[in-house]
Amino acid sequence: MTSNASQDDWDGWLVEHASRFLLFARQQTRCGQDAEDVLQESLVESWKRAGGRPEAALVFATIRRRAIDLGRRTDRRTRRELSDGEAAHFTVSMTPDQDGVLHELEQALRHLPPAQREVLTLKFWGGLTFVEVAATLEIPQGTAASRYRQALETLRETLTVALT
Amino acid sequence: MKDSNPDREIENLLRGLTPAAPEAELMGRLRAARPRESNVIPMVRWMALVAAVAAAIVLIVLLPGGHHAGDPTAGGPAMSATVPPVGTPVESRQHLMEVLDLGVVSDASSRQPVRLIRTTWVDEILYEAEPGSPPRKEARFRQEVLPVSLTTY
Repeated sequence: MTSNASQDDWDGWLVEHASRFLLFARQQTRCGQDAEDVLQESLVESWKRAGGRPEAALVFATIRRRAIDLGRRTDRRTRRELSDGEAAHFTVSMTPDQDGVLHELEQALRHLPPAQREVLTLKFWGGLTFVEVAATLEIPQGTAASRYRQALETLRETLTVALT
Repeated sequence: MKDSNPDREIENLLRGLTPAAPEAELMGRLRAARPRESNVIPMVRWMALVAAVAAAIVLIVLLPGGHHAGDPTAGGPAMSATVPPVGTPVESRQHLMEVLDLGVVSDASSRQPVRLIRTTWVDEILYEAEPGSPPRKEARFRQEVLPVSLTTY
């Protein structure tokens, strides 16, 4: 019974949170396959360390560390041309008249400087506080807040240019 | 002074984007990777903890002059040097980035409950620029803990 309850808990947690963890893993790695490997490894590791459902901040921090480790290992090997292709990172959920704007926004997100994008992802879709974002990325809290602002500003400027 | 937040529109648009769900194949793989419970690991952890505590006690006892007061010359946290801004500030914009509810506490003087909230701001300060060049912008991070009175009956 215990085993079943644990499986249910694990499954429920995955359904609830896997999307946002996958988004971050994709942004931290060079290709979809790496993202999936890092995601699996990080989810299992975080769960074990927490002895059950881990805090989101712990999972994001683990994903980041594992992605860095993987990046170093990949650098040592022969460098292949890796890319995430056109895998959709988001699903668009709004009225049809906003559809075009949202697709522009998604493109703009892909072209954000990585430092801004990771803060935006953790804060906006990850649901972390600035304290947690700063701890996850090992940056000062003020830097996290400033990068979030810069990300919004960059997106607004890009959208203004794209839609005019 | 201008207190505007033009970021709301972008944030509202971002709410229309939801992180894509993992594909069925990946979800199946993740489900199958469920960490198994094991009684061995907690026991090993306990033994490691006991060993670490024992080692720490031995070190404290054996080290000469084990009680070291802090080096007064080491000092506390370094004061960050404030670089005086170049130019004249001409405009500032305050952006409210986050509001966190810290909970309800009892006010010592009035004995009334108050809710504490922590606000996080990024203040943008624009400095007067040379003719023909854009104004220089500086962002400063600021946090405030504010008491909010609660209505009591």
